[in-house]
Order: sequence, then structure tokens, then C-alpha cells
Amino acid sequence: MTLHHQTGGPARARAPKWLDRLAPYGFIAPFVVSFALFFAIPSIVSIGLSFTRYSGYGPVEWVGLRNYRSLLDSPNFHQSVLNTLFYWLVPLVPMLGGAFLLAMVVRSKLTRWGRIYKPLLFIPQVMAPVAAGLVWRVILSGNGVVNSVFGLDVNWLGDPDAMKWGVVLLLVWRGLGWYFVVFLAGLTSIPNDLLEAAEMDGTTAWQRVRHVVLPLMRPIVLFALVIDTIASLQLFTEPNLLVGGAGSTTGAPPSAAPVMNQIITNISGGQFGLAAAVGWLMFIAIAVFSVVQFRLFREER
Amino acid sequence: MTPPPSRLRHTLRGVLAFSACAVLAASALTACGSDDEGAGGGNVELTLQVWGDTKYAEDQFKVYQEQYPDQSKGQTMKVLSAGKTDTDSINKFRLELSSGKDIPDILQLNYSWVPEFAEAGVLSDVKTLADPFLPNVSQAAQRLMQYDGKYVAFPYEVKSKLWYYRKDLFQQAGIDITQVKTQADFVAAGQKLKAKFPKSNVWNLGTNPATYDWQMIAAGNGAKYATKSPCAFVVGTDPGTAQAFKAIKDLRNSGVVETKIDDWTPEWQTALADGTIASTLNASWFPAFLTQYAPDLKGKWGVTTWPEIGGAVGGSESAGSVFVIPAKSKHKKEAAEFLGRTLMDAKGTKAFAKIGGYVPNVIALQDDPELTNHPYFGTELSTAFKAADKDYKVFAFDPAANKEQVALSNAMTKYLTSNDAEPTTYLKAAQDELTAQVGCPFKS
Repeated sequence: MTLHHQTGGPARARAPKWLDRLAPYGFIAPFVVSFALFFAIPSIVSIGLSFTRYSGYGPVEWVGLRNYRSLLDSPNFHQSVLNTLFYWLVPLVPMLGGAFLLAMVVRSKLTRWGRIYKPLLFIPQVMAPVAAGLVWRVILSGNGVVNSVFGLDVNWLGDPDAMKWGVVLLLVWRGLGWYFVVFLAGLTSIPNDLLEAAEMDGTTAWQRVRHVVLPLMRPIVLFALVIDTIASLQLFTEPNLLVGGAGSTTGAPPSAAPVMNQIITNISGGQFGLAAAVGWLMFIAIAVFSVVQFRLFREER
Repeated sequence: MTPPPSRLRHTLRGVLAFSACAVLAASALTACGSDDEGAGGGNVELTLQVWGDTKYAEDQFKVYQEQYPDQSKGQTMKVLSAGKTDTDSINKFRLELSSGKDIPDILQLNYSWVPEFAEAGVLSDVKTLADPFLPNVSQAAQRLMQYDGKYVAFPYEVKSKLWYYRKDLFQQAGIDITQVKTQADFVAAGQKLKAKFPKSNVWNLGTNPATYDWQMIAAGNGAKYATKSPCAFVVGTDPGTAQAFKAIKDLRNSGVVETKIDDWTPEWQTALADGTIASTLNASWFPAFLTQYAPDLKGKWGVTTWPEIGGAVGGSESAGSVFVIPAKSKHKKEAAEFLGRTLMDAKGTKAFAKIGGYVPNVIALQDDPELTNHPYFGTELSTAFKAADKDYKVFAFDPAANKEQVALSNAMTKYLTSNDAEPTTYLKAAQDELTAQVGCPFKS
């Protein structure tokens, strides 16, 4: 008895063998074609572009490694790299640590109204980065909420030493809700039985977190770290909107400009080769950091 | 009932034949359309690329149609906004040049971009096309049309340097604005103002001053960032640039300038309205913002020409904005006629200026009572504008202007936050970086 007779479905002619073989390729073709057209081919072209001087039209001049050398020698490039590392590393602990703690609290029996806290904490993430940047410009202005509430006289938007901290505040505020949801999802996957068994064994809350929750959350923490690293190294909107000024032609000042500004200003200035070189340096940095993180956090077999 | 195979084939053949005919007919019609555009007397669709709102350009064409029905007969205009900023428009234009497709007939530009495209040879020489209108416009407008001695643009907005000040506060402090002629006078006026109003300042210069603040000084003192022959950056040793940088730092240290407030911050808007910033050295576009920030101070703000700051007599703010006709434009003659009539001819310019609210470049209109009475400044604005026209100068922009602006902004911030009195170290660093990254600035 054939299957369609068993299932009661109508009898169908079997598709030709070649069609069976080709069908899966047909299904993935739209992705493969668009990936090749809009990502792979432009990426390969941009490698070539990074060894040239090209203004977007007209002749292309081969300059070898000059673009890379000039960037690696540039004090402004060094400064923007340091700024980007600052925006990555400084908010890392308060943002991921804070999100983890909040997720633990909401998941625990201590909190009654978890359903209220979840959307409340996620709201900043829903807000468009541009809107958030503009709102925080007002909050951090001389007479803004932060200075008024804490009785400070900090020039968050103009003082080169303070402006980066203003950006960090914005990043933590925006990122907290996102990582909170990520960690909460991870915590939900930990069986209650396991935690209850540990509790019955007489473990303290800290011991349960240290020896049960954290090891099981390892893949989630790795995911959060990699996502945060990529997002931080590609950071652009927040610092430029917060300390760049609406009428600024150059975005954030050098003391606060992220490395992405090097790409944007080079494209604006018709230096496509330099912009491509910055892009590839960023790609290498992201790849290196991601590999290191995977190595450090990979699960022991 | 299904048709027999032969009938099905016949039906399919019919459908295919019909489709082929339809495609051919559509192609023929399209071709007819493009032929019409190419012919002189037929329908012409001009394309104009701007950034931001398309309203003013659309109004400009409406004025052209109303005032010059014969010249505009059979013409329509498609106004395209390429993005929010002029940089968006430039990036789009570069793509258009690269592909050779969709190149607009007219492109709006800030003058600082003109050298790049003029050096690359992608702009039309408009001397012959603009010749009939040239005697109508001011010297400043004529200067704005040129790059390297060639006429490559039509003048839209001449951006003059203007000094805005609180008339009421200056008067109470006993400051005679006509006697403020040098940087020392300016500081002295600030001290007088502070004696009477301790919280008031004569300018605001934060640690990240807007590029135009020092660029306006550099535009008037003969500064240059690069030379064409030999093709090299010279900003590291350029005395004009150093003088402009030093003037900014000296003024910040003078005690009469607000040093915590940068332009375009929320504090700036408040300070302009509450007297903390009682005067500002700015440009002719500033009234559009001041009237929004301090609407209640109508009649209390005055305007005049700049004193000599950093050795600068006259100058401009980025020269101004212009319209250019790309060399590959399909309708150069029609585009030039439209621009000439609405920007350089008294009848069209007056009608457009009344809608657009900008200061016209046509000499005959500079005293026209219908255009000179500004709702906020009265006649003072046009008087100051005319006075600034006399010393109007265009900065020696080169094709690497955008890159220079970024490098020098960085240098300025580092210089202002340092203890160094001279900016030489920072300017040399900027020159080294520009040389390493750009090489010859005049090579596209």
C-alpha cells in the first residue's frame, strides 16, 4: 500500500528526479543571488577599492597599501579607535551586568509584577536611536535633568572629557532593555527543577547563580557579548547625534568620534579607497574580537 | 472542457503575437517621447536636483512659467531631493556621474564642492549662457559664479559675514557699534557690555566651534590650505590659517566670550533669547534661525558688518550656494535660461525673492522697498548685506575641501584644549594627515 493511500490523499504523479534535485537550490536561490549581488560581490570589490584612490567617478589610481598605512599612521584614526573601544568596554559591565541582574530579579519570586517591568525596561530599545539621541541632548544639556537633579555643573555636550561619558549613559540606557530580554529568555530555559534541587541541597542564592545559572547561561552570555562587540564597533548614531550638533558638518568632535566616522567622512570627501580600507580594518577587528570571545566562552566538552 | 492541443497552441500563439505587438507599440511611443524632448521646440522636462525641501525649487519654476511664458513654453520641471544634506546630494551626483545615467540638468551645490567637480571637468562652462545676465548682478554674485577664472555656476545665495548684536543691551552699555573696527575693539566692546551686564557675552565659542566660525575668518585673511602648483597641502605653514586659529583661541581667552556653549545646542538657543549671548559673528543665513529662537526680541537685534577679526577684512561663509549645469545635461540652454531669468534678471528674481524670502543678487533690486524690509530686522539687514558685499571674498577652496574641513576641525579642538599659544603643531599634524591620505588635492 502506498503512502497516499494510507493517508487518504489524492494520487499524484511523481516529480522527475532532476526536479527533485534542483528544487532545494530553487528555494535558496533568491537568498544566494541577493547575497552575492548585494554583499559578496560588493565586499570583494571593496577589497580592491581599498588599494586605490577613487572619488566615485573618473579614473581609478592604484596606490597599493598607502590607504592602510596612512590610516595606521593617523592620530585621528588612533583617537577614533580609542573612542570606539571606550564605547564598547565602559558600558559593557553596567549594561550586561545590570541586564543580567534585572533579568534575575524579574525571574525570581521577589518580583510580583514581571509583566509590567518587561515592557518598561524594553521601551528605550523600541525608541529610534535618532529620537533617543535628541531626547538625551536635552536631558544632558546645561540646564537639563541630569545636572538639575544631581546638582551638577557638567558640560556633557561640550567638554571633551565629559562628552564620552554622556554617550556611555545613553548607550547603557538604550542597551539595558535589549540584553535584559536576551538574558530573561536564557533564564527561562533553565529548568526550575534544577534550581529547586540545588536549593534543597542547601546552596545559597549566590552559589546557585555561580554554579548552576551562569554555566547554563554561557551560550547566552557569549551571544550577548558578540552582539554587543559588533554593535559597539559599528557604533555611529548615538555619539554623532548626542555631541555632534544639528548643524555640525563633521559629526562628533575628535575626542568623541567613533571609528565609523572615518568611513562616513571619507565617503563624503570622495575618498572611497580610504573608506573601504577603514571598513576592512573594522572587519578584521570584529573578526578577531569575535574569535577570541568564542574561544574564551566556548563550552567545555 | 479543455481545448484540443492544436487549438491551445493556436490560442497561445495569438497571445504571444498580441504581447509582442503591445511591447513594440509601447517602445515606439517611448522613443517618440524621448525624440520630442531632444528637439528644440518640443516638450522639455528639466530635472533639478536639490537637497532638503523641494518647495523653493518648485516655486522658482512656477515663477519662471508665470513671468516668462514664452521662454518656458512646453517646459516642465522635475525637482528631485537627494537627501537631507548637501553631502547626500553630492554622493548621489557622484553615483550619477559614475553610471552616466540620470544626470540632472541642474544641480544645487554649496560652493565648497564646486572645485572638485570643476577640476574633474564635469561642469558646463556657463559664461556664454549667462553672459546676457551678468551685468545685472552684484560683484559678489559674479565672484560666486567663478572657479579658477571660469564661469561654472549661477549664483543663488551669497553668504556674507554679518555681525548680529542686541541693540538694546549695547546701547545701555554705551557701545557705539560703528567704532568697533578691530579685534581689540571687539574685545573692548565685550568688556563694556560685561561691566553693565555681567552675564552677557559678545560671542560663543565652545571647545568644538562650528567649522564656519574659523572658516569665515580664513576666508577674509588670504588663508589657503593647498597650492595647485606644486600640488600640495600647505596648511601647516599657512599664516592666514594660523591667524584664524589664534584669533579663535584669543577670543575664547578674552573673558568676553561664552566658552561653554557651542552652536546648535539647546543652550545656544536659550542663550540667544535670554541675553547670555548678546552678539554673534555669523553669516547671512542666521536670521532664519534667530527669528525662531528669539521671536520676542524682534526689533531688539541689530545687524552690521564684521569688525576685523584674525586679520580678516571681509570674506564670506563658504562663499554661498549655487546652481551648476553638468556637462552631460541634455538641456543646457533651457536650464541656463531658467536660472538666468529667475536668479539674475530683475523681473523673475523679484518674483522669486518675494516667495523665497532670500536677498536677491540683482543690483536693481537691492534697494527695492518691497524686498528690503525684513520682518525682524527692518531695513538693517539689507543695508548690512550691501555693505558686506563690498568686501565679499571667496575662500580658496580646492577639491579636498571636505577632507580639509574634518582634519582642521580636529586640529582646532585639540589646539583649543591644549595649553599651546600657537597652533603650528596642530596645523602641521593636519597637513601631514592630509598629505598622507589625499596626496595631491587637485587630482580627482
